[in-house]
Amino acid sequence: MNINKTLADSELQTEVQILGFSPEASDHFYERLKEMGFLPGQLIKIVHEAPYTRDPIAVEIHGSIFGFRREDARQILVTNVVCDEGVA
Amino acid sequence: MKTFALIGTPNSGKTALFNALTGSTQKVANYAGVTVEGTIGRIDSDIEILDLPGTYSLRPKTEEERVAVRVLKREDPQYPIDGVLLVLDATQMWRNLGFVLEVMELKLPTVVALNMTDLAKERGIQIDTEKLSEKIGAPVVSIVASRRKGIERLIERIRSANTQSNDVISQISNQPETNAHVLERFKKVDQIYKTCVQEKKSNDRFSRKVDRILLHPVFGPLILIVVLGTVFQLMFNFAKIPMDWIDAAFRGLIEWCKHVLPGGWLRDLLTEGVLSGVGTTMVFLPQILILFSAILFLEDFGYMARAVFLLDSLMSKVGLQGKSFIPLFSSFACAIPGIMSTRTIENKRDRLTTILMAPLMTCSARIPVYSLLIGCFVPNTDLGFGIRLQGVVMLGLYFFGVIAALAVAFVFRKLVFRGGKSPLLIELPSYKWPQISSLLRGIWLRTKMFLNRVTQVIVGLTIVIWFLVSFPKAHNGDVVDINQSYAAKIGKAFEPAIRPLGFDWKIGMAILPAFAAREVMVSALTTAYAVESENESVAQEKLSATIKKEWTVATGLSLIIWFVFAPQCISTLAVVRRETGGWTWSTVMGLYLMALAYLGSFVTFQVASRLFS
Repeated sequence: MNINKTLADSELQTEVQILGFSPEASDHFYERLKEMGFLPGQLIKIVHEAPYTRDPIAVEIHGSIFGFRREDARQILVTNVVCDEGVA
Repeated sequence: MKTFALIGTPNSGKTALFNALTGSTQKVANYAGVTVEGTIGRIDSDIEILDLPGTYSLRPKTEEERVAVRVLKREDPQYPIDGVLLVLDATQMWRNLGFVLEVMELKLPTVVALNMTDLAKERGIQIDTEKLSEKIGAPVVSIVASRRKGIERLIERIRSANTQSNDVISQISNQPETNAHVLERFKKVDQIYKTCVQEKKSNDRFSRKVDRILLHPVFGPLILIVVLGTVFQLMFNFAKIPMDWIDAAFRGLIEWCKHVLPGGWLRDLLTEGVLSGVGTTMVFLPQILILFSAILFLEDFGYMARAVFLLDSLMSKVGLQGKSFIPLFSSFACAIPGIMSTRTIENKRDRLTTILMAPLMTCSARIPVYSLLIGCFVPNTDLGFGIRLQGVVMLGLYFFGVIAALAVAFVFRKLVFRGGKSPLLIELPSYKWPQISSLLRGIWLRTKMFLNRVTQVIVGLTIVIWFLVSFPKAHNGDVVDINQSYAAKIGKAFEPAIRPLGFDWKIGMAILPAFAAREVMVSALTTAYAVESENESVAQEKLSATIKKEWTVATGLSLIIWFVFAPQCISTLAVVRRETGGWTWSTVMGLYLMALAYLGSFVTFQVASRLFS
């Protein structure tokens, strides 16, 4: 299981599970993300990438889609869903 | 009378519900200290509904959200609410439940309206409203606001809500929530969701399909260009016809007044002052209406959020973010509603930068000035394929404004608003066909901002100008000699300052009133050059002829550049003051624009007079 993976490195259209936020993540942006439900245990996936720069990314959570930048996605720690089940 | 605050997350159909509940009883609600415009309406003589700006949580991040949360926490003495009407998007239950629980913590009498239940059904989402009502501790009513379904039952629930003992003031602090608190709330959300909601396929397959095209790596940007191009086409070609009508109507009205009223200074004041001044501004109305209709349609449809997503990386190159796009695009019609729509930008530096850029977008009030000057000083050479030089120069001025704005943003971000990029966070909502009633309401709100200029600035101003050019009356034969007027004296006093820009006192005399509103320039020039004619279109032609004769090309070009930059709209500066809560930023804006205008015109005149002499 790859613990150090962040949402920024996750593949397009691949579901991942949120493990937590990196310690630097502590401003309004992350507060709002949490209010949107970006919390440990939730499943998310990148569904779109903006053209050329592949940034920002569109992330799906529980049927809602939010756009934010890849550099900010770096603070969201995730793990592959398949691995998670494998360990369990 | 009981007042219920209508609250919901953005895109939950709040406006549709408000319209369904209150119909034609709506009026504008003003919140103290800020200019966020809300609406208040009545269900009947006992119950009033206050429409609050949408918010994602009770921890506000934007100006609009702050207004909503202040009222909800009963901190706004102007609107002491008795209860809350909370609207939820039934297709987004999981996320909405978090907000419901937060609102319930306010301990206010609450009624929940579960909206878009038809869409939810279509997508295989089943919600047990009775269980839900039990779990959250508030009545839940299923509705379809856009089709007025369930509205009667909802009204009944609101009537019977117990608003007797609500002196409890909520204890929610403004501190950021602890992680544990949020986690705990969402644990509860998960639990409620599992017991009350069953879904087979929550995905909105239509939106997913549309997004696959509109956010496509290749087609996405192309479609965006086509969409924006089409909006501009509509604005220029479509608006032409109604603009001519309005123009003709005002001319007819002036003619009629001249016939009916007895001659004298009062008639002159009405016809040459007020009516012609108001007429010049009203002519832009069709353009403004078309641009705002298009923007609001795209916004309600869900496309504007996609445009923000697509444009973010481009905007971040000058230190901005995608959300600045909508205010800047609106500013092509009029900077005032543009500046007001910056309220959705969370980050203060981003918002201020966007506000400072807005007046550089070519607003509709510049068009008559550009048309007159380009018509006089740019030859209409055919460049082949039916493209003519004058049109290219006009388009070039639009691009010049945009490039100047981006440069200004870059410099401000480097010098004043230093620090890293601020994050972007935008919801990409499901695509929805816009509702006519909510479109009309939005268009009216924005148009009103533009029209307010007419009553607040234009009328008073045209009276002042008229007075300054008409008095003291000195006759030279049977024509009034304008050289003796107060306006001429003021123009002459300013002449030394504007001489290096290629402007004489007559131009100065026209520029001065145009500081209040750009479009006044053309009629002020007509007066300054004493072009008199019964028919106004003949007057326009005569003015062109006079200008061509009296000015050099360098002066003409210099004046065009002046109009790209100069802060010639007193309403814009006033709006900036209101929006930023003080004179600081409107002073900064006025000064930087003034400096750029002077510098730009100076360089243009000095270079052009050497090139074209």
